[in-house]
Amino acid sequence: MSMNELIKNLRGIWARAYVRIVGVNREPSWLIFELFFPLLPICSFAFVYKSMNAPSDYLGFVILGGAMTAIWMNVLWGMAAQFFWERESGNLTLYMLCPMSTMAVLVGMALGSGFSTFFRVIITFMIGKLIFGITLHVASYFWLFATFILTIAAVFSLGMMMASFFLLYGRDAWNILTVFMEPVFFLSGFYFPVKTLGYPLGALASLIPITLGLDAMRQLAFKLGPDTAFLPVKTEILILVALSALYLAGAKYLLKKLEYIGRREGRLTLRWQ
Amino acid sequence: MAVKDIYRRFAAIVKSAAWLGWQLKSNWADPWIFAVITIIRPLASLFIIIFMFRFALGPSASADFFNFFFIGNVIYLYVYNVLFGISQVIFEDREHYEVIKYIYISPVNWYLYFIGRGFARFIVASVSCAVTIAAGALFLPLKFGMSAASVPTFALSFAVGLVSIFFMGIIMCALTLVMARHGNMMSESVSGIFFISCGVIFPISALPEWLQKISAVIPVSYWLEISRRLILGTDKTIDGVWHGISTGALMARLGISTVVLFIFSILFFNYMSMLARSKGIIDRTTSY
Amino acid sequence: MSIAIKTTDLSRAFADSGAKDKNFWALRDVSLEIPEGCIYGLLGPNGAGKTTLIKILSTLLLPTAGEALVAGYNVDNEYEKIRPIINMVSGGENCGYGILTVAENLWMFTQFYGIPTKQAMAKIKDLLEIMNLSEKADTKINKLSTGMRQKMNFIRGFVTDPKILFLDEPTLGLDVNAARETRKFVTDWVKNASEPKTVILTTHYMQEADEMCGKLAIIDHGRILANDTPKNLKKQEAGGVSYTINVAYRDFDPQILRTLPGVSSFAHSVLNEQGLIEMIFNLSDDSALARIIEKINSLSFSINNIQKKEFTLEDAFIKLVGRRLSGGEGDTL
Repeated sequence: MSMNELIKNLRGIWARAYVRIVGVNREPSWLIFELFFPLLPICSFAFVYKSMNAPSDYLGFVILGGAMTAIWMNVLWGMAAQFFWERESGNLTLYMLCPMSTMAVLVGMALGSGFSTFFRVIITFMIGKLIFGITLHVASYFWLFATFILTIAAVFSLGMMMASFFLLYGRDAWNILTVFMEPVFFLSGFYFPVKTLGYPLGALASLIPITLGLDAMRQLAFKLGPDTAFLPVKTEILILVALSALYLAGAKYLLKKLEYIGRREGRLTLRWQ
Repeated sequence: MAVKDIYRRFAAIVKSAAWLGWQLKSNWADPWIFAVITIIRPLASLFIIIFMFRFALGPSASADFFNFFFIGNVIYLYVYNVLFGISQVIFEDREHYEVIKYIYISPVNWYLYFIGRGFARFIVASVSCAVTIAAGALFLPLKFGMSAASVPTFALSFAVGLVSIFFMGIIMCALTLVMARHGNMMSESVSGIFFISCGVIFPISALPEWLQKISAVIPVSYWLEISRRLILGTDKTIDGVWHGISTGALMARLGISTVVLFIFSILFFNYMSMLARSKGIIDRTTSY
Repeated sequence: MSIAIKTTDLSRAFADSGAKDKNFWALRDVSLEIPEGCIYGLLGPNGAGKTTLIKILSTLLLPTAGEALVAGYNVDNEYEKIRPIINMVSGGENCGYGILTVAENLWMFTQFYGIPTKQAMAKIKDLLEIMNLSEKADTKINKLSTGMRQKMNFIRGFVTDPKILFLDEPTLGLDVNAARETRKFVTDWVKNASEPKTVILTTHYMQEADEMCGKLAIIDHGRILANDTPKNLKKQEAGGVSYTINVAYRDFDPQILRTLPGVSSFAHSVLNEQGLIEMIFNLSDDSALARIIEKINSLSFSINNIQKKEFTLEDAFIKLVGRRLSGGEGDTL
């Protein structure tokens, strides 16, 4: 890629990210729907442990897992499914006409969403921590933060790969995405340590980066975390790095491939599916 | 206009809206994919709770706990699905299909239209409910004891409970008339209010007192407790807030809170509708 | 003059969902040469293949057969070289993000073309002024009227200063004044450009095509039926001249004029109870008119009115396609 191409793509990334960053700030109702309401199911699951007189760290596991659902929901509906909305509004056609890479559009969306989601997760977690009086025992703030960022990066890379399917498919894919809600909350151990699932199922669930990211963060943030560890933190971080690279490469390949199929079959501009 | 004509007109609205709702919900995929998705989500929800119990209590968890959360979870499927279905109507018609202005100016009765659109979700919820019951019978130590005499009371409480959900859906629609589209987040999140405050998967007595007061005004709390008592065939409950309150008294509270909700939903919807009109945002799109 | 777009036997088939194993040909063997620096019109009824052709040329769709070159690049495998020099505006589109202002939306699209922000904002300001949209620059687009959104969409097409611009029904949804301004803007843009600009325009408005296009193609059922300047199309396709003559006498038998030399076709009708007869002649040339007048005079009937009919693009269109482009009896649009 030439320097000109790089600058063009960087401008595109910033422009698409800008829409997301500005968008959330201009509609203050997101505060209610993306901060307050997500707290409700999180608190419900925390109350389940509370009603069983479980240790306070278990409540912390749930609060952290629940806060991380914001990332997953954002990846599903704000990233993967976004091309569905872009196509319906006619924007996808214009993206395809542009001389910049479609990857730049996706990276821009991911950065914009990742930025707002980053704060959302932290705020949700802090509120939950305050409500239930959770005490943290952080082994390393650096590694905790690094794992958090790495998890966001890996999950959004997966989201970019999933988004490419929306170049071809419409409402069918949008609906199929719903299958990645509760089943992923279950498999990735959002509300209980993934170790509880057993190693074969846990290994399968590790293909979703949030599984290992969450497990590593629990180990790094809570006293009882290491007791419920699925894999050692270092191994999980290495796998997260590998998954990020794999999904990014997958997204690049699939975008190119599916754009070609979309042009061949005339599906890039197909609307009202 | 004769009563018969009014009935026919109303039935036509509900029927066409139900048909539309079903088409929007189901016509995008092969029936088997649709069936898999309908089945897999409630099962996953059930397994989340089962594994939480397994993690916290180990294999020695009490059957009372399982009975409690299982019935709550099954009834909640209706709350979630019907509420979700109705609360998405405004977003779908406004931002996706861009038909809201045409429906808004038509003489259609909004409430009947919402009932119709929510009906498809009711069907889906019923399928999910059947699947969850089958899975529960397989994987959980459940003990049900519903008597034949309880069936009419159960049916009545079920019908009133559904009606109350419908009115809550109207309130959600009223809110969405003046709000931006935040993907599916809103509908997912609002059902969380009922998840936390109505004793779906944990006893209301575990909540702080101020939250218990909120649960006392939501019909779903009564609906869940009545269903638990009638299905399990016992007035004994692990939830302390209901101790000493008869099933009849709970039925009365369910009825009264539903009537209050009915009045509030109509007033609120009309107010929000006027507000949206005065702001000129009935048919705006808010993508970002 | 260099060629901006060249297609050779370009065809595009779609699977026909109504008939198994059958293809529907949206374009069939289209061969065109569009010179640089002109406004080239594509006229045709709905479903004729205009939008399919534009989608192929703008790299959104691959052809099934044949070849299309845009600025010398093949749309099939050199699309990355085509995209920096083209843009497209479709009438009636709702593109952009409702939450952003007009200026922000336009800025965003310029960034996708790598235009530096300062340069982009200056260009946006100029275009907003030209299109009388300056005062809405800081308004969120979900608060714009349909016409204003269309104007913004129109500006989006020009803000990247493309060499080749595809305009698909660009005046759709605009009022008469705005449509006039838009047409003038496009014409001036092509005329006053420092480097050759080419516009491919599809429209349902005959007058728009006649007024704006240096050359145009009439397309129907995926095939190009004619391809020439509007003037030549009118002349060639309509064939000859047409006159309407009114004769005011009940006993006049118009059939005697049918066989006169130079009369290609003839129709008549009685207009009122007083016996006013209207006759419409299609003549091979003007000289045949003298013979008709002479004949009528020789029979001692008086002529009330003679009117020469000017052929329009619509006449040429009807002759080629067999129906009107919009409105009228038998219209299939």
